[in-house]
Amino acid sequence: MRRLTADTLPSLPDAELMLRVGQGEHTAYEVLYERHAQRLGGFFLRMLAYDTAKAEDMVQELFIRVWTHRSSYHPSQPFTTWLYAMAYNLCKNDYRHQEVRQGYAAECSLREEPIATTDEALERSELRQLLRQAVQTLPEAQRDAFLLHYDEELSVPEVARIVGCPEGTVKSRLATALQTIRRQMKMCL
Amino acid sequence: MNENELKRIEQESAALLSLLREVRDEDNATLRVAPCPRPSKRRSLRISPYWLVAASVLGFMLGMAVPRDTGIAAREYTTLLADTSHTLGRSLAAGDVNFALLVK
Repeated sequence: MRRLTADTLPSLPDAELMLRVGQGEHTAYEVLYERHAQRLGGFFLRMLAYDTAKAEDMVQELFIRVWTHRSSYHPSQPFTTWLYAMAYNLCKNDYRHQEVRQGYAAECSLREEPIATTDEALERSELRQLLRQAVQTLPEAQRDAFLLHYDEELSVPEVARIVGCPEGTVKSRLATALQTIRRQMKMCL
Repeated sequence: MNENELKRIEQESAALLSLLREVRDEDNATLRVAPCPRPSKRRSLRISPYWLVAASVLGFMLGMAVPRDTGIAAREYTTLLADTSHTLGRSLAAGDVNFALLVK
């Protein structure tokens, strides 16, 4: 594979960058990190009950895994599905070790929110906080599908592959989750 | 679950999904992501299944090569050897041993 300069690498698609990572090209790995780290950090944050320190550690852990398992990536598979499957498994391992969701309500109330200056901004800020709580109180399977589909914008077949269940089940979980959140937010929206 | 049914619920929840994206962007922006991790170049010590099989075969061969425990204490060997030699000596002297059988 032709070696490119650091300037041209950011223009390459994920799959091609990952192929270069597979051959040990560290610059391509850094480009992938720059491209996905922030967003994956947000995903970990929501999956791990807003534990910021843990979410930041998880991003590092995930990308170390990307490097160590780089040979397992196959270009026929979308890179984001491969990456999110790994991220999802990391979260699942974490759930097994400790009940991160316990005490979320207390943590949520302590979480600092930007100070709203107007009534409208204050209302919006409260709404966002309510929505965070509503998503976190969903049953685990529904919340995982919900976050992967609506927050991470992965398609239903991709979510199905990541969580390991049929597409119909994912759709049903999404619909139930949306209805539950709507019910909880009905008074506010 | 019908595809259209999910679409309908999504359309009805447009305001909610817009707020959800707002929350996502806000969450993503608050996070400070550390610089890219520098993975170690050192090769990880992975044990291949082939090595496991080879080690098991070698272990088995060594196990077969080592004398088995006969249940006889080391100090008893000398007595046993002396007795056997004595018996054999007497048998030889008495002409009880069929050398033709021994050679066979």
